[in-house]
Amino acid sequence: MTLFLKEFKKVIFSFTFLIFVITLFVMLNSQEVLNFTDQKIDIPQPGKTDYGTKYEEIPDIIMPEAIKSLYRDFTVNSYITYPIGFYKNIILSKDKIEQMADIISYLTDISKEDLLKRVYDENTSDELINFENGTSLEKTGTGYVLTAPPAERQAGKEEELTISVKKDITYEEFKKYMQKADKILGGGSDYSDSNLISFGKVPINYEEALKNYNLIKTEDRFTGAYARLFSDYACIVISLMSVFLGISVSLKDKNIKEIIFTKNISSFQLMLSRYLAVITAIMIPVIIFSYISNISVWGMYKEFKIDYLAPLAYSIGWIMPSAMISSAVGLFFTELTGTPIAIVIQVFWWFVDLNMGLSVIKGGYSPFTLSLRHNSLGNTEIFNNNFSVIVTNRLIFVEISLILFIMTVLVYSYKRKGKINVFKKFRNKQI
Amino acid sequence: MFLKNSEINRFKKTLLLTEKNIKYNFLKYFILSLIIILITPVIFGTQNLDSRASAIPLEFFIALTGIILITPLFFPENDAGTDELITSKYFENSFVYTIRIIYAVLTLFLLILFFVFYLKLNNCTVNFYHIYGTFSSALFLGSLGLITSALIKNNAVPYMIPLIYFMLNFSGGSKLGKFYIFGMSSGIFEGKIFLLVSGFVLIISAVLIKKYSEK
Repeated sequence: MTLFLKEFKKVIFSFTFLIFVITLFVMLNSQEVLNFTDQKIDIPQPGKTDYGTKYEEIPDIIMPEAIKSLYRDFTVNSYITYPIGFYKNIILSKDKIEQMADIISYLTDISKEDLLKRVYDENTSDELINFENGTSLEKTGTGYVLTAPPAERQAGKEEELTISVKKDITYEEFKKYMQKADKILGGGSDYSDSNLISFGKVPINYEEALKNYNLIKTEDRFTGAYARLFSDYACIVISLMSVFLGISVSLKDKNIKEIIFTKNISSFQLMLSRYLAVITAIMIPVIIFSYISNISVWGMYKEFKIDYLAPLAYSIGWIMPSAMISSAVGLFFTELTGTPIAIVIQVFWWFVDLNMGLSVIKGGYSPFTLSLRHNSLGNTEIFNNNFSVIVTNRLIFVEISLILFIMTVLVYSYKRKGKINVFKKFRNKQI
Repeated sequence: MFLKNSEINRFKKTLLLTEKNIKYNFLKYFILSLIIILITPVIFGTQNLDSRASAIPLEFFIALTGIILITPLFFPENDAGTDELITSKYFENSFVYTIRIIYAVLTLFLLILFFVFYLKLNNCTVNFYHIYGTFSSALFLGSLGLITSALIKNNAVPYMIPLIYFMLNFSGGSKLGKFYIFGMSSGIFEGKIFLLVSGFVLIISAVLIKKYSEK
């Protein structure tokens, strides 16, 4: 306990911890999740025209919308994709245009030759400029030729709007061909297996809106929905910032290692105290901010039975595993190399994970997501349906954290015995 | 003879100083930056990109090399722990810092230039502004780390500040106005001068702080 307190004091009285707390506050405040007073969840009233929209996998809606979109992209040879969450504009090369034409031709009644005539290929038409309204400007040997769009196009009756999928194509087959299209585009397009549902946008009716509300009321008991949204943002910050506390506390030992190495404390005891101290130091401000955020809505639901422990449950169940893994990465790599290389590792992991998660920002989970996303107040059904995935995900990260912790103990203990001194030659030298 | 012997001697020592600093204190950061550059095409699309899309790998990833190359320039003094040694050296410490800054900034510029050229080869729409804009963002991030390093003798905190700033920009940083580092990715191809000038001002301030704090 004394050792734990020593390590704990070392962490919380450090400059790193001060910056950590300030950053956490600034980031949460900038995302407006520290005060939810203007976000009351009201019971839906019947007779309204708009209760929002949702996405459903209805083939009769998805298939015509998706093929229209693909045809539109094909004709202008410009496709927007988000491979790791970032915008990417794809312009296909000639052979890939042909491959795409094969796909569209198979799914519709339009022949490949006909399709290829309609595509604007900037790779082969360097001297042709197409404007959005259908007008084109072409450079010829004697000057420029301005071509007006066909009359029906000018009137807005674009042919692409009448394009339809052949009747004998099943949804499964359609999905298979959309996958091929996505593969040609390098992934991350609207035609990928996970994104195809974005074409299935349907309005929510009153009964469904009421059902969503009742789920928030009975399952989340209101406060749970707010704690989840808070955790969505907090987890992003914690997944990155925790690594600094692990690094900082380890680097502090650097100049007094000779003294520590000769002390009569087991490596396991010392590292366990240190790891627990770091996690405790991270979780205290997280829990405090989580309650500050949640208390802001307690007054709004006085007539209901609310869950006062939701902020604590979400902090421990949702955020803590990310804190554990991030700080474990910091401790392990700093002990191993004596350098803050863990920053690069964690930043890279965090960055890729965050951007890959953008496609499922409203609540979509995978077993290996570092920062779980649920950027929505409510969406309780999605949360409930994926609960087992969320639990699996968090347990995986706890397990990896513990493995990293054990590896840290081993490295530390070998270093005490003088058996390893990794990257000694890479250390900075004063010249 | 245009130069006196003492000047030749000083020049030789400067070259030796630069070589040793690059070898012992800079090479690892250069390799790390090179790895960042090499893995960028794996994470981001780098073919047939329009002007805005070309800016995304540059501003969101390549600019991070600014933190890697510039932030640790004062670390050798932090690591050594013995400030007494500094005063006994042939060169003034601020001169050593200037040398390090010159090669780090030059390397940063060349790496960005190399990557923009790579984008060009891959049929992406890039121009001089992509080089200038990325360099400005990268330099500003690096300078935030360097000035923190001048103020705090710690090898983790100096990385924290630019990364927090990067994160702030990520989460709706357009509120940061002239100091928004992802301008080109949002389609804004102007205003990077503020980042560039601020970056150089912060670097000069960092050297001055370091110089006077050591006296």
